[in-house]
Amino acid sequence: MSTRTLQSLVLNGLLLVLLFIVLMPLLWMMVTAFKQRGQGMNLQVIPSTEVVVELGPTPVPPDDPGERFAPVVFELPDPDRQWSSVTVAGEMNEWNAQASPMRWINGVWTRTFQDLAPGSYQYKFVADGDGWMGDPGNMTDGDPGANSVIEVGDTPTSNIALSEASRIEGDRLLIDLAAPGLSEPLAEVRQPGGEWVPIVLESDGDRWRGELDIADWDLSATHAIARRLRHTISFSEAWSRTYTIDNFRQILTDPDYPFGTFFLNSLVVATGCGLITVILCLLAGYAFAVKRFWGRDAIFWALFASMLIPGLVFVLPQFAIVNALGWRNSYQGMILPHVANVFGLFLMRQYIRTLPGDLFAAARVDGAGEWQVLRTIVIPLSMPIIVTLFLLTFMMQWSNFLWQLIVNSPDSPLRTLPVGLALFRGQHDVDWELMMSGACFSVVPIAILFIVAQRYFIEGLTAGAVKG
Amino acid sequence: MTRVIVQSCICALAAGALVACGGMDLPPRVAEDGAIHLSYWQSYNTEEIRVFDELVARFEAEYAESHPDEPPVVIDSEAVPFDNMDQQISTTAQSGDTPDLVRLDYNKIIMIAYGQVAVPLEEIGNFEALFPDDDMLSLRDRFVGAAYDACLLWRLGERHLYALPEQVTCLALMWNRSLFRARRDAIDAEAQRTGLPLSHERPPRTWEELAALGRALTWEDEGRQRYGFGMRESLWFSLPIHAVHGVEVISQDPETGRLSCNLSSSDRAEVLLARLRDFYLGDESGPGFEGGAWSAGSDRTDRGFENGSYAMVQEGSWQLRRYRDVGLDFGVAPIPCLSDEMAERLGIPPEENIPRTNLGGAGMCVLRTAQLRGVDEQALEFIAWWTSPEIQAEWALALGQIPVTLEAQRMLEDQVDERARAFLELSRSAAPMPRVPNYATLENDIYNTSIQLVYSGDIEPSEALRRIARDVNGEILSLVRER
Repeated sequence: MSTRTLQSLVLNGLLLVLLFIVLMPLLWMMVTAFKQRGQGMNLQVIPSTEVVVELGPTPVPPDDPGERFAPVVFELPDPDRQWSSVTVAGEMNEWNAQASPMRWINGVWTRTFQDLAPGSYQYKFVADGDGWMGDPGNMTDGDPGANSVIEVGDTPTSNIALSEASRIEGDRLLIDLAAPGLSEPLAEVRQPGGEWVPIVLESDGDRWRGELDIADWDLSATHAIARRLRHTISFSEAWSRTYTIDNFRQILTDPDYPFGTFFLNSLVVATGCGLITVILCLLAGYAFAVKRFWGRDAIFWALFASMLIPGLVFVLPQFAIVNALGWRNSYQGMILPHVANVFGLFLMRQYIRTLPGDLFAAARVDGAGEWQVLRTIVIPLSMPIIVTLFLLTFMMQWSNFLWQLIVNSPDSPLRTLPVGLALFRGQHDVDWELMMSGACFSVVPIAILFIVAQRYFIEGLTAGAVKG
Repeated sequence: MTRVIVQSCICALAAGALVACGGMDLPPRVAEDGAIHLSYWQSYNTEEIRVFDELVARFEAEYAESHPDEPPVVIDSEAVPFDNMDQQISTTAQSGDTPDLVRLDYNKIIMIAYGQVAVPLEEIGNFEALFPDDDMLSLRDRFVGAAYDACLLWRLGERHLYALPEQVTCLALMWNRSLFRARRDAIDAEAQRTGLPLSHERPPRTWEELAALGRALTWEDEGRQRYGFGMRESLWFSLPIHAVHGVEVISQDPETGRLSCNLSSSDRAEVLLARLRDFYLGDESGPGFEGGAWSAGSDRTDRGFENGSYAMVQEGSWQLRRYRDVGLDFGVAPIPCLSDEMAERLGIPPEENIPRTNLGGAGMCVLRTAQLRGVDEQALEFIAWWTSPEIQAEWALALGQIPVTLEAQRMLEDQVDERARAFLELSRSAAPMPRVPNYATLENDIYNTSIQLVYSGDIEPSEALRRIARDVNGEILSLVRER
């Protein structure tokens, strides 16, 4: 292998690594945007087919054998969540409709009591605060308005077939789960302070049952034994459990996060700022570069010096002015404070100064006015820097957060994408999946602009880099 | 610098609210649809919004039923980025279009209280009717104490209730059971060496045990460095260890409400800082074991605990679901207290040497706009309903959070697992957080910068405390005293 080939290989390899490093955040953003909720920070790209489900802990009975300790579970199916809240009231809580709220999990309202003495209990469910009803799955004499009755014995009890009836009986820990559809699940329980111990489960109809001898276990300092369930799923199911397009659907349809509107507003603001900035800076740059007037250089350098002041200092006076003009929650309030861009003026002036003076002289000899000079000479020759300035302004305003936040009230329909994305950042957690879905939208216009205008942009950035 | 400028402007802007209120164009009390619309700014996440919307629909229905002769109430909630809520309020205060209700972080409530943007709740007409058995002080018994204290603020020599607690968070010690088991031999050896009752089966009970366990759990595991402990640099994350050592960053005179920072003369604070420094740098007992979670480029405690870099961290209840979902084998324990010897040395009586934690979360405030519109009573009624035990229990059950009322906590105790229960118990021993108008400046610009210099061994703890006290008294508390 020749030295040149080796050099080429090394260079290409380095380029690939560089490309990978540059594109890595973009790839992460896109992968996260398609992740199921809650899995955004899980860095595993290829989904695992082995699933570990943490089950609720099994309570350890108290030492006193006379004290009953079998959970009683009340369940009320509500797959469509027609009620916003449900409680259970009965003889066990003195018919207090507020004392025992139920929790809606996977289509079922559930409430567990750990300390009911054996006996018979009448009860009712209370939906949405005042909708008293008998238990539809345990009606008395078929009357939906009558009190339902549950008999509590010495084993786990439920008003319907218990989906989870695991318990400790004497020296045995019994696993008893309704887990239809699972193939060869393996239960594990953790010895207090020790290792996870597997329990082989056997199928019994729709249920999986197994047991473990825990006579040697020291349960004196433990209230509950942690458990989990391992099982395997197909790759396609693992894929659908990991990836989804629902995040995009949600941010496009959720009225709390109108990303279509956010996107449109950002486009209007960034484009408007870019266009007006270019026009103002082109005209001012032309005047400062070509025209002669009293105090020209002094004014220019005074403006230039203002660039040394941090931009944040201008926020408060600008806000006061916009507020006094009644421009809050308006496009003019969002756009106009940013169009007087000294950096753009500087860029334009310096560029126009590099244009040959003879061109201007020739135009004047031919009788061209200011407008004609600008239109036929300055604009065509300055196109790379015009495009560059537009792109820079567009990008800056596309990602402008603080101003667009404070100039719009939270109920404003004119909020922009960066403000919308910030809504996914909470006090302690970030909704990465939705945020990245929204961010995918935000890169599209920038990418399109760069692809369309890259020739001008590169010319603009490299203008003056090589002396001809 | 940026934060300083923004934070310094907030108080002035908020104070401008009164001026703006004079000539502002307020929405009518009753809208065209015949209802009273209460605007409510919140920063809930998507899951919280879903539950909130369901509960609010119930409030609106119940209100209409219980007040048949009055216009119905509609809660118009608007999402505001959490980090920028104070900016939004201070800027809209300029134009007079603040909302009627706002959910605000505890450490920011004082800002709108001093800016006179918030209305003292006890001054609202129906306060006594809504809380007939309580006055402003006894109402505290219903809530997590530290949370209520964060809403009960001194202003101009008087105490006022500017919010009711709406959310409570706190920290606990999380420990990785797998790593403890993996280092069983090292833990036994450390127990023999120190004479402390260490075990791989349980978390530390004192900070002395934590230090010994930390050393045993710091090792190189097949080329990967693991640390016994990780701690964030922020003041908020270190408040539990402050509380356990009996250190108050800002002290308040219970009679006058006067605030002061006395850290420079606090022996306890000096011991605490020296201890934290030794956790990182090591001391005569052995090398350091704190993984530098506070330093740039290191794993934060939440990520580091999840990926096994740190065996023990202080983290909040909001991480429980995430750690469960990734299958982490972990336990939740109270923040350790001091050994008897150390407590005696620092003059902390045995009954006060208990696990303590800090307080986070948010309160719900009624703003001046509601008063000017004549809808403050409806706003307070919503707050009272929202903070009632039944609603709090439902909210906490649905979202796995800590209820703000003690009654709701009792209702949930047998409904949550042992880890969540640990947080419920700890929240009740939370210490109030420093009540200063610009907490962010205190935390980011004053406290954290000095503490990092201590951690890195650049300055002594006494010098850091002197700097903190000087800056807090000069830059923050002087603002309060001038008012």
